[in-house]
Amino acid sequence: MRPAEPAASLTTPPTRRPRGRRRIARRATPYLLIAPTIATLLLVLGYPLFDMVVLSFQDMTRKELFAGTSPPWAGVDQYRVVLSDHFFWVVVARTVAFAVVCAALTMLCGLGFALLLREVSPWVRGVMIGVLVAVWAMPFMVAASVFRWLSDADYGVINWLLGRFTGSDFQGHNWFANPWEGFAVIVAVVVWGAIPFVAITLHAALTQVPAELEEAARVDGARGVTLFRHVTFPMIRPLFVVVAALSTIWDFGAFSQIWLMRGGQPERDYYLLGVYSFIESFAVNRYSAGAAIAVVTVLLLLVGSAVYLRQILRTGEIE
Amino acid sequence: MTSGLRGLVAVVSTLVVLASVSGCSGGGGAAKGSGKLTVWLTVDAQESWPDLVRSVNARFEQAHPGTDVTVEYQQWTSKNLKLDAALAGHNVPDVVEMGNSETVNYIVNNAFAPVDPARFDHAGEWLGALREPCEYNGKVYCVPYYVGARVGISRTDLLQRVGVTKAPTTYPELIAGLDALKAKFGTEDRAFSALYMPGRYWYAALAFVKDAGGEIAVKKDGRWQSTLSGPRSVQGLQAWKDLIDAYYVGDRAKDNSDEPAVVGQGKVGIFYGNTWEADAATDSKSGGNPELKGRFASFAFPGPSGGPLPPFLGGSELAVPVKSKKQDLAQDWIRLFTDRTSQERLIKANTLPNNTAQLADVDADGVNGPAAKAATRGWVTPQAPGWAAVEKANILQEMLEDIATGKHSVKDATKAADGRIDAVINKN
Repeated sequence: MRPAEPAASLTTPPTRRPRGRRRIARRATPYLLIAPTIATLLLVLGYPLFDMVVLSFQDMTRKELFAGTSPPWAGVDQYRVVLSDHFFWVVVARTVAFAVVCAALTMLCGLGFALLLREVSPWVRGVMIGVLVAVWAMPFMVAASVFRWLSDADYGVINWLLGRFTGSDFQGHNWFANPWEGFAVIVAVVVWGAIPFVAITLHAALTQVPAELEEAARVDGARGVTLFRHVTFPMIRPLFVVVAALSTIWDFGAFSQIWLMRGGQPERDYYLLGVYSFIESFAVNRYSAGAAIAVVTVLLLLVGSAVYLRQILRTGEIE
Repeated sequence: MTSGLRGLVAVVSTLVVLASVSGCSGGGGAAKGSGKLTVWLTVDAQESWPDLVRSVNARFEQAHPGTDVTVEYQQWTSKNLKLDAALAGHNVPDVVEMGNSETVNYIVNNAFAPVDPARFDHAGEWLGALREPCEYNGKVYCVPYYVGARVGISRTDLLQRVGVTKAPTTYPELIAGLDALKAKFGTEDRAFSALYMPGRYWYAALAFVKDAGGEIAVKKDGRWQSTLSGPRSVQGLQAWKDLIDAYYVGDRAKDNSDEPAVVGQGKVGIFYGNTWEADAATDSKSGGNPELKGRFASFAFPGPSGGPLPPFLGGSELAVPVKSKKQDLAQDWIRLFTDRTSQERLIKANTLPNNTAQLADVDADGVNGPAAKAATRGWVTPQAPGWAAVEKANILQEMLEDIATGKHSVKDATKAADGRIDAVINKN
């Protein structure tokens, strides 16, 4: 990693004697530094995850929960029941589609904002970043409630505005009666809340693109889309992929937005994997079935994470 | 790649780790000292009879010097999740308030300790709707607290303007009143509903099932079976749907949780609700409109069958978790909180008492008079171990929403619901 320095070693004074000990200390330092993080992760993520996997192979009911006794083993029964349920696969497909649509829209809008931020005058940029940060700072609890009121059937401002501008009657139109429309609203609140992070991150990446590079390309006649596609985008690509993978993972686990928008009582048309697992566990009290669904969710997420990890590793290699 | 960009990737990656680490944290448990009795009541007590709680605590602490009572107020929506978490550990509340449709599952799963009914006032005259959910295998596992019955509540001023001066006593009279309201105010304002009846309002819809002689579920050979698609149940739900189609113009996918606030907007002629909701509709604290004060009257809501619509008797019980280390003290606190004097105070707060003897003390001409009359013929949800799961999985709400919005016919929606209910109703 560090460049060999034969010239430098000549001039090095012979005071670097206690070499062995130092080297050990130096080698141990990174591990010592990361130890608290690893320990915390094991404690707050590893243990519950392990417990959840164990639970999914048992048959836990409230009797065991309240008595504190250990539940009987059920082998792969929970998985067999869950995986052979047609509805489960509907939910999986819906969740994947939801995550992909949300992430794609988030990245597209985020990139748009990032590019716009480069073009505008400094004070407009300041205002834009201020607004983006404000959006990011808004708890999604609040955001979901606001969007819910906006799209309220009887008193919502969206219906009122649509009625005004289109001339047709939207009074009493329920946005959640049709799941396609309902998901449009939910996707809107998710994307709206995710744009700031993507926009600001990509904006930061864009500021790192050397101006000379683009200038040179311009001298060679590259313009607009071509310039972006062949010069600018390749520069920010690694970060773009990482952020896209992250967005997908986040949206895959969407729960609160749906839960809040449907008033804590989501219809089956609105079940995503997170909601489904929660309902099975804590409404129907099939704790083990809920755990099995959660484990499958984690496995599916690992597939998404693979893309993310590969990019991280690659980023290291390029250097 | 520039070094700045590499740093950025590192920062982003770190953020992810941090975000996933800082997930969610659990709610606080019931802290307990040596001489402390922890009581979980729902917010109703805090909002409507805080003075009763104070006076009972004072009486209790006088009788048991050295024991402090800590009352923790819970929201209905999150109470049971917190309770489950507490019961799984050791730090449990000593007294907990339960809805009368929630108790069975906990009793079947050995969560509560049996109580001795002889210790409590009027135990022999407890209302069936409150007593039944407490009984299991010949023992009593909780103590009735209070009950509420739903009645019809009308805007008397609006009815007067269409020439109706007395409350409807029969179904045709009710329909005539609704027609008159719709003809006058419905044409003036498209947002006006003669009857407020949101689609997910399952306490109202199932009252029509009961009125038609139907059942939600019946026990056959020791197993519960959902009977919502039975001919009488379907007939009741069809009558309910017809009312919605004719007189309700609002959002059909809603439930009744914000009823007082909606009624307070002034665009509702008649609604079906708890008597206190008439007050809430004129109280700005609950989103109501103080200008409507004095314009509401309650009446026994007539059903299509000819009799009054049998109301769901929603009530509360008080139970002692089996893991509580102060079960005797806990029972004594409940004894004071549900005794004759305390029940009198509840009647004053426009609530119905837990026993038939004191039901007679409710002013027949007062706002709660019709409710007291209806309470004797009210119904409760099936006493099945898995009933709580039926409620919490929103099976009824979804079925009714599908019917109300016209997504499915009554027949198809009830068939689907029967299947889903049968899958969970017998499970612990």
